[in-house]
Amino acid sequence: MSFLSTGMLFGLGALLAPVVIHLWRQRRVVQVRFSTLRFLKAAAARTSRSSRIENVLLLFLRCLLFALLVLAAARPVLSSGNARLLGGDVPRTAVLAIDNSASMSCKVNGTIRLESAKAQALAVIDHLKPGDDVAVMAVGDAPQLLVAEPTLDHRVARQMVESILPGESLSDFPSVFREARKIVARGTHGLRELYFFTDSQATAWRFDPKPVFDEAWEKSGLRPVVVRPDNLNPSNAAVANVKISAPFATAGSPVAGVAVVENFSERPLQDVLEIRIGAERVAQKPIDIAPGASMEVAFEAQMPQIAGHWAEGVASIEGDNLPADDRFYFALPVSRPPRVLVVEGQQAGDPRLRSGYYLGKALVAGGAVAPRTISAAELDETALEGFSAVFLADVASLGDRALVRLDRYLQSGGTIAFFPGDLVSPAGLARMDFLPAKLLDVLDLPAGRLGTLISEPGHPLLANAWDKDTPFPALPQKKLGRWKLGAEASSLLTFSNGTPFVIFARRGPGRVLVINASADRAWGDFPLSPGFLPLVQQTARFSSEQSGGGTSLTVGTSLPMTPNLPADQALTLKSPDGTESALPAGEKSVLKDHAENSGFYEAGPPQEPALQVFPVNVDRRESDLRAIAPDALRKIVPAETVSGLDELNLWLAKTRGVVPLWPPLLLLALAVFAAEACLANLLARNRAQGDEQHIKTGRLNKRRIGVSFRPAEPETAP
Amino acid sequence: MASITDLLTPEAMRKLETLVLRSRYVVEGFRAGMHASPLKGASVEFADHRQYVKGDNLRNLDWKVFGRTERYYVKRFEEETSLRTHVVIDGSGSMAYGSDGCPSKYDYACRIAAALGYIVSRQQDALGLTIFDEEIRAHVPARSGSRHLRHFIEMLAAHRPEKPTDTGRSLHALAEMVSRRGLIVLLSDLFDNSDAIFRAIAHFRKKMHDVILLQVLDPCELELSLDRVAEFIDMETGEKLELDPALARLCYKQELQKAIDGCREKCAVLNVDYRLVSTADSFEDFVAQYLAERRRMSV
Repeated sequence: MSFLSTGMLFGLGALLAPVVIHLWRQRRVVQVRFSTLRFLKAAAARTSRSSRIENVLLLFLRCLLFALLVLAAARPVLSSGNARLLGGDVPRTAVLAIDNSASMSCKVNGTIRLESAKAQALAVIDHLKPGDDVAVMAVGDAPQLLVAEPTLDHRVARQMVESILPGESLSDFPSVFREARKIVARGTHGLRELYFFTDSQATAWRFDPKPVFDEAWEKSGLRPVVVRPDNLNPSNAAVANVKISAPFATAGSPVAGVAVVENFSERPLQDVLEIRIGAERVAQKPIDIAPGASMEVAFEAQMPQIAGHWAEGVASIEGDNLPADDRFYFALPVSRPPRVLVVEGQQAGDPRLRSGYYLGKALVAGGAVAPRTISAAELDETALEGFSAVFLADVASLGDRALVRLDRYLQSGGTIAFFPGDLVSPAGLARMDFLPAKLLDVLDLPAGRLGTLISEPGHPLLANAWDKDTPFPALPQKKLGRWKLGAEASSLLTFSNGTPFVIFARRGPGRVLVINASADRAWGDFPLSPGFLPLVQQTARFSSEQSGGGTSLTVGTSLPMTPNLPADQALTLKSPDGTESALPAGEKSVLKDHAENSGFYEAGPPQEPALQVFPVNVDRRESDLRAIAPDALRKIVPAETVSGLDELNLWLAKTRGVVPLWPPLLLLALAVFAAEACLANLLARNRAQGDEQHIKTGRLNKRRIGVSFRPAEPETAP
Repeated sequence: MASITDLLTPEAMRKLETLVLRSRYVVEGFRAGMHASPLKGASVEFADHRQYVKGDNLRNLDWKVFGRTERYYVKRFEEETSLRTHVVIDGSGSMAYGSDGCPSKYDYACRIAAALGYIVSRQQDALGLTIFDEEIRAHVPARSGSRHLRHFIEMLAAHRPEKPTDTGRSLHALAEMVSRRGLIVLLSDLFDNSDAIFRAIAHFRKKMHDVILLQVLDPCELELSLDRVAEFIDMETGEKLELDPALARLCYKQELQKAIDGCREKCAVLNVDYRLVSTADSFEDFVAQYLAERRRMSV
C-alpha cells in the first residue's frame, strides 16, 4: 500500500487529541466528602464497569474516526494483483509534450500555467516505474525535442522538464502528434502514451484532423492523454491591433489611429488604453467592453520628438492573467523623402524630352530626393537596396542579372512602377515575370481625351488623392496598351473605354504597378497633364510606405530583409531582450528565421541607428484562452482528458494498476461516526436517566393511614 | 453560651406556640398532665369497676351497683399524667454533611429538636435528650422547666458530629436507661446497620414507648445532584470511591429508595411513626405540618 498525499499522514498526530482529552478529563476528578458510600458503592458496582467499558469504547471509536479520516485524506492506494495482470506492470513509453506557447504564461492563482503543466509532467515521471522510458518535448509553434530518444534515465527527463521556459509563440498542435508518432516509431516497447500538458485552447484545436490522425497514427498505438490545468476559463483581454493613419512619423505633426481591444472574458472589461510612442505617453483612453466583444478605440496624438529613423510605439492595457497580449507593438518610419531609381529604356534624343526628365521633375516637385537615372543595361550592376521604388520607363527588355536583381528587390519589399513606351513590345515584356499583366498590343487612339474611373477608391495609392468627389483627370492619350491582367492583378484606375490605366499586384512582400501611359510624350501628353505629377508623387510615397515595413509581425515568423537595409554591409540585429547578433554582408532574403520574443527587433549597420525596426507581437489567437470541451476534443482525437494535478494523480493511480482505498475508508469513517454518535447518545441518555426519578420527603407512611391511632394495648401491662 | 434563639427565630416560635405534642399511647408521667396514663386515678373520666377490698376509699364505692347487686364495687377513673419526651439525636460524622445552601443534617436535627423541646416545655411536659454516635455522648434525663430547656439547647450546641456511628448499640443502651413509658423522638440519617437500628427501636416499643422516627437527609443525598466525576470520601470512615454521579444517579436513587422503603416497612410493623425530612425544607413548617397530621390522626 502507498499514499498519494503522504504529507497528510502528519495528521495522524491528531489522534492524540481524543486521548489527551480523555486523560485530562480523568485527571480533573474532584474530591467530595460525602455522608456515606453505602449506596454509592452499590451503584458503582452496577455502573462503573459498564461505564468504563463504554468510555474506552468511545475513546477507541473517536481515535478510529480520526485515523480513518487522516488515512483517507492521504489517499492510500493498494497494488492489485488483478490490475497487474491487466497491464499494471507492463513497461511503457511515455512521451511528455509540454505546451509552452504564449497562452501558457497565463497566471492563475499566482502560478503560470506552464509551471502547473511542469508539475503535472513531473508527477507523471514520478509515477513511472524503473523499466519505463520517457521522451520530452516543448511545444510552441514548432516542437522542441528536449529528450528526443526515449530514455530510462528519468532524472534527465526531470531536468529537461524543469528547464522549459515560457514562450510567446503560437502553439502548433498537429506537430505534437506527428513528432510523438515519430518518437515512438524509433523502437519503443510496451504501452505507448502521449501526455500532452496544455491549456487546450479551442482555437489551437482548429485544424484538419484527418492528415494528422491518419493510418500511421493508428498504427503507432499511441494513447493520447490531454492534461489540462484546473481553471480552464480565466479572464483575458488583448490589444489586438493598432492602425495608424499616417504612413510616416513626423515630429510635432498630429497622428490619428485606431486600437482594437478584444475582451475574451465572460465579464465586462473596464480598463484604460495607453498609447506610448518612444518614452512618451501620447494618449490615454478609458475602455468598457462587453464580455466576448471587441472595441475600436480611436485616438489622436501629437508625434513626439524622435531620435533615429523609427518611432517605436506601444498600445497597452493595464494587464490581466496573460500580460503578453496586453501590449501591442507598432513602429512608424520617420518621414524621409522617397528615393527612386529611374531606369530609362529610351536613351536617345533630347534629355529634356525623355521620360527620366519628366519623372525627375515630378518627384523633386513632390519633395523626393532627386532620382538616380540609369539605363537598362546599367541595371545589371546597380544595387537596388536603399531605393524605395524603381521606375522602369519604356524599358523594352532586361537582362537575366537585372531580372534577378528586380526579383530579389521585390522579395525584400520593394516597389516597381512600369511605364510603357514606344520601345516596349509584347515579346520584350514576356520575360518580365514580375509584371502583373501581359501586354497584348498597343492601340492607336483618335485625338481627344480619355476619361478615367476609380475602380478601387480605398487603395493606399489613391488614398488622400482621388475619390469619387475628386476624379482623376482625363488624359490626352494617343496610344494605349491592351493588357491581360494576371490572377492577382487588379485595375485601380480604368480608362473610360475599359482599358486598365493603373494595374496593381503584390509580389511577395513587394508591389508592382503598371501605368498604362508613357512617362514621355510618346503615347500622348500624359507627362504634361494635371494627373501626371500627383500620380508619380503618390507612387513614390506608396513605395516609401512599403519600404517602411508596414504591419507588425508575430512571434515565430521570420524577419525579412527590407530595402531600407544595405545588402553590401554587415548588419547587427538587436532582439527585444537586448541581445545582438551580427549578420554578414551579402545578399539575403531574411534577417532571422524565427522571432522568439515580442517587442522590437532593430536592424542596421553596427554602431548606427537602426535602419529597420520590426515590431513583433504575440499572435492574438493565443489570447482566446477558452478551452475545448472534452466531447469536442474526443471528436478530433480519442484522447482522455484530465484536469488538474489531483485528478491526474487519481488517473495515474487508476491506470497504474492500483486500487484506491480512500472511498471504503471514508465509508468506514462514516460508519464509525454513526456508531460513535449512537454510543455517545446512549451514554447521555444513561446519564440523564436518574434525573427523572425523585424521592419524596415528608409524606405520611401510607401503611399507617386508616389504622386506629389508639390501638388495643399491644403488650400486657407491666 | 447557646440559647434557644440561636436555633429558633421569633417567627418560628410564634408558629410553634399553638402546637401540641401528644403521645399515641399511654405514658407514665410523674405528675398530673394532659396525657393518658396506664394507672387509674382521679380524673373525671370513668374507667371501670372493681370489687371493693379493704382499705379502698369509701368515696369511690358505687352505691347504685350495691343497691342492685348487694355487692361492693368501687368506681375507677382514668389517670392523666405528664409526658416524658425523649429526643434522641444521631451525632455521628455522617450527620455533619450539608450540601451547598443547606444546613448540615445535625444542625437541622437540632432545630427540629429545639422546636419539639419548645412545644414540650410549653405544655409543661418533661424533656430529655440523648446524643449518640458509636456510643452515647450526652444524656439529659427528662425534666421540665425553662432552665432545663436552656440546658437542653446548650447540650445540642456543644456536640460536634465527627465520630463513626453505632446506632443499634447506643439505642439499646438508652432503652435500658429510660424506664418509664414515654415518647421517643429519634432524629437520624439512619446510615447504619438497618437491622440493628430496628432491633433497638423494637426494644423501645417493647418497653411501651411511643416512638417517632425522623430520618433527616440532605437534598444532595436524595438526588445525588453532582454532575462531575468525583472521588467521594466517606465522612465517617475516610473510605474513597471514584464515580461519575450522573451515571450512578439512577442506581443510587433506587438503592436509597429501597432503604427508605425498608425503613417504612419496618416502622409500620413496629407501629413507629416515620417521616423522611429533607434539610432543604423549612423545619418549623415540617414540625407544624407533622404535629397537625398527628393530631388529626389521633382524633
